[in-house]
Amino acid sequence: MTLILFIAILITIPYVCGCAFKCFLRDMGIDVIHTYTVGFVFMWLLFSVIQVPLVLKDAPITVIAIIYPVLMVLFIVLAVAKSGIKRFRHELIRHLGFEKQGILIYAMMAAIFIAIIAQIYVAAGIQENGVYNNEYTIARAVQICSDGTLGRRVNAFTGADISGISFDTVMSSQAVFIAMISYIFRQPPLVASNLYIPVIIIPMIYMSYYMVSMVLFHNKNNRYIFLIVIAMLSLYSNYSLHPAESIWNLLFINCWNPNVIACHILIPLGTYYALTAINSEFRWDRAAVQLRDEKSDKLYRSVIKNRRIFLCKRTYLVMTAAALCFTTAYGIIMGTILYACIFMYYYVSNYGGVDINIKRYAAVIMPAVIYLVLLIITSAVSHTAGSISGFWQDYTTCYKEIFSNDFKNNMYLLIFISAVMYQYLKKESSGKAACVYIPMLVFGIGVINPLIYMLFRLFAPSYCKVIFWILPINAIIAYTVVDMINAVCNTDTNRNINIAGVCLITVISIISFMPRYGYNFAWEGAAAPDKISDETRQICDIIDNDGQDKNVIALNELCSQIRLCDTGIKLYYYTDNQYACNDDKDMYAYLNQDEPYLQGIVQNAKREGYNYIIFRKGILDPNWSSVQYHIWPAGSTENYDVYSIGYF
Amino acid sequence: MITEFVAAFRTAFYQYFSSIYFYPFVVVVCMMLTLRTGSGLQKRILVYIPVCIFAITLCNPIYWKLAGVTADYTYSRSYWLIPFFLVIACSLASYISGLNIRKVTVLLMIFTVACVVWGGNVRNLYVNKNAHTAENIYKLPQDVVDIADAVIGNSDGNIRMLAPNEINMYIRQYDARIGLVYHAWNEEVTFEEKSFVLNGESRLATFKGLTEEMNRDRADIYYMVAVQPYADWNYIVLKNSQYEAEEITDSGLSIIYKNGNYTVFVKSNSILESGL
Repeated sequence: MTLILFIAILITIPYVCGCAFKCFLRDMGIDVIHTYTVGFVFMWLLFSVIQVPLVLKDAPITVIAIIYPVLMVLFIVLAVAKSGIKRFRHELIRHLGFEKQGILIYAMMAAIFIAIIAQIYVAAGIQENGVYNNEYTIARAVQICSDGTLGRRVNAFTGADISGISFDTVMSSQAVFIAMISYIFRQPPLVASNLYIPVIIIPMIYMSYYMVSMVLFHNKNNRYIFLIVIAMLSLYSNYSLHPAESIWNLLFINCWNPNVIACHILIPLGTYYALTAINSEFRWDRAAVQLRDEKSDKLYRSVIKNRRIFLCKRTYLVMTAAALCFTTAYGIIMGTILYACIFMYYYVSNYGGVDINIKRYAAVIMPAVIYLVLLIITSAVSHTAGSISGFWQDYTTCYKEIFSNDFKNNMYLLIFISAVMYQYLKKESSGKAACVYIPMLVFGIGVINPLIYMLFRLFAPSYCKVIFWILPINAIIAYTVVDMINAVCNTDTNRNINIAGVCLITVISIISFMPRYGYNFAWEGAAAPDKISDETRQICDIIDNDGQDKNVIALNELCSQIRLCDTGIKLYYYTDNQYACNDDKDMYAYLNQDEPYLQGIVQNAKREGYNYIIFRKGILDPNWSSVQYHIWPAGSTENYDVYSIGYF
Repeated sequence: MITEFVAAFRTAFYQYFSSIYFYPFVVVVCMMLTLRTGSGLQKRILVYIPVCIFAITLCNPIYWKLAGVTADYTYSRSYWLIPFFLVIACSLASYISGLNIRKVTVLLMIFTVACVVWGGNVRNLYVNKNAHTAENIYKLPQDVVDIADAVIGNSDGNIRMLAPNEINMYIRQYDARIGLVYHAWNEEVTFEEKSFVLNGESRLATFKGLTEEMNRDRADIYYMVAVQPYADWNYIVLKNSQYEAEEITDSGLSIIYKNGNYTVFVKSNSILESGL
């Protein structure tokens, strides 16, 4: 009963939506199948778009199950309001009339219906041998139904919590769609995907190929023969020959796979729209050229009509390309290649004849371009910070740290802003461009731009916190001070007093506001001109006197200095785990945590042939170290103990 | 690079056609027929544009490199852009439509019968080497459904399962309440990978280690038990041939479900003392 209700909805709603859409577009010439496919693509696109924010916000599944039908109804109501009830009803029934056909047509139509029903039956009833026929999409749909929310950050394969949700997961709407169907019709997600989805997909596939056949054949008989041959070929191919990577194989085994919608429905439909758009553009251009030579109503009407057809087809094509973006990443790549090939082929093959205006088709490529740009950005963001939210957190934290480290305890930023404001407000300032506009542009485009931050995170993370160095803060302050002094000096009245006042304010500023010694920075006096601490020298001396090869595992804070003091020392890793021995990332964590993992450190050190380990003082009892871990104290400084590893 | 590209081209070809080499031959013949007898539009859609796509994508080493960046399968699946069936169907339809109605009917009948007898035979469909009748409405192996039902029935809500690949890759498609320690297709584990010493031998609690152990002919039960504190599993599924009864007794596991192929164990409270 539920399935019958579902089929009834499936038959009516896309058609009504298609009628509503063509009312908005005022494209009244298209037939039933065309209207139905337009409605289907529109519904798919609408669903795919609205699921994106809901997934990102982890909305309950009930929200999309309510919002989606409500939006559909609203769209239809708007279309009815726009065109009027009578007109809309007329459009609904206009092409539904029964037209008597020959017996052969009836036979072929029956054959196609039987093929569709048989394929649905097969798609729902068989499974492949030895191939894992269910994968991420279904696992995610089941997860959504189980959680009752759309975007919970969970690895669908394992159920483990994860920090973020990937771009293609958000953009691929199939799992959410299956979950919604499952929720609305109260069926397990696997039943929805293996039975309900084929009921949607397989008839739609034949409709898409029927649309393509409309371009290929003018004769109706040929179109039906074409569809029958396709059905037979697919059946024959899949169950007898079974080409493993064939898209037709995917259709039968995993009908719910988003690649099936992309490659069997949207790409053929897009091909049809692209070809018909090009065709109508040619007709439009030809009529326009003729109209210049010969003024006639017929030609004028032809120009108007073909322009209207072109615009409609292009709209359908853009809609299909956009729907591809929300279906599968593979689909959008393949679709874009196909459309680009079609347009380029026509452009090249008609070069010198009737021109194809390639700019008119730019809109078709735009969804793919936007998709790819977003994909690149989010991939880079995910690569650098794990997820989008993680990236924003990093970004804001970085700028908070810049502020608190460099500007919070002084008036430096305030003085800079005052200088810029002074230059901006000053009349006839020659330094406006250099001190105001260019720095503001640099600040906006370079310093606080998340993209620039992302690039730095990706390629040179250590520079993220010094991006603001690009701003010529000192130069602008200095220029403004000189400018102020000049302004004051050029004032006729009380000239000396003004100069004295400016100097006094400058001196007070320097004394009061600039960072004071020992207040903002943990500076200490260097013991020697080479700025290496005495303790580091002592450690190097201990190692040197002990006499073994100088293979050393040192704490992070010592790494940066110890090789400056003695270049003969070989370190297990450098600071922040860079250049680790044999890529062994564990040692850094083992040694630098509050309670070092002594057994792991000694095991790894011995395995790699390292002779010395430097611990913080008191971590290990020197009297027991040899008994517990077979390491012996080699010497000690105020803060560190140096141990020698025994290989006995 | 060229050698690699040629190898990739060959692999993609084999993957797509799966040793059915007469398909490309038929397509080439149909393309030539279309070139000879088809309309201008048919030639463009079914010959020129597919050939362009073939040249730009599958015969292009730069495309091969770029496609490799997106996914492993992108290059080989570029064959999906070549409308093989459309070319064949269009040629056949054009040819058939030139005949009279009686001949069309006879030809279609022969064609349909040939397809059904040779390839799409309904009985053959369900027992052939490539596919079989779905065991249940979920199109999942029945063992998976039974195991999942048993575990859900036994648990208090928190399930972390360790299972062989043929079970773990399906089970969460049946019920998402079952958490997995690892999944065959997803090379991640849900715990921090560690090395530990078992019976004086250094072992690894990693995806690779778990996969190897769980999918061996004879599983090392003591290894599974030793991994438990890291992996934190509370249910384990083993093939009946993978273990001995005394190993289970020693390890402190309890059986909650057993069928002809698999046994499901639950972690008992004494497990922490047993193997560690």
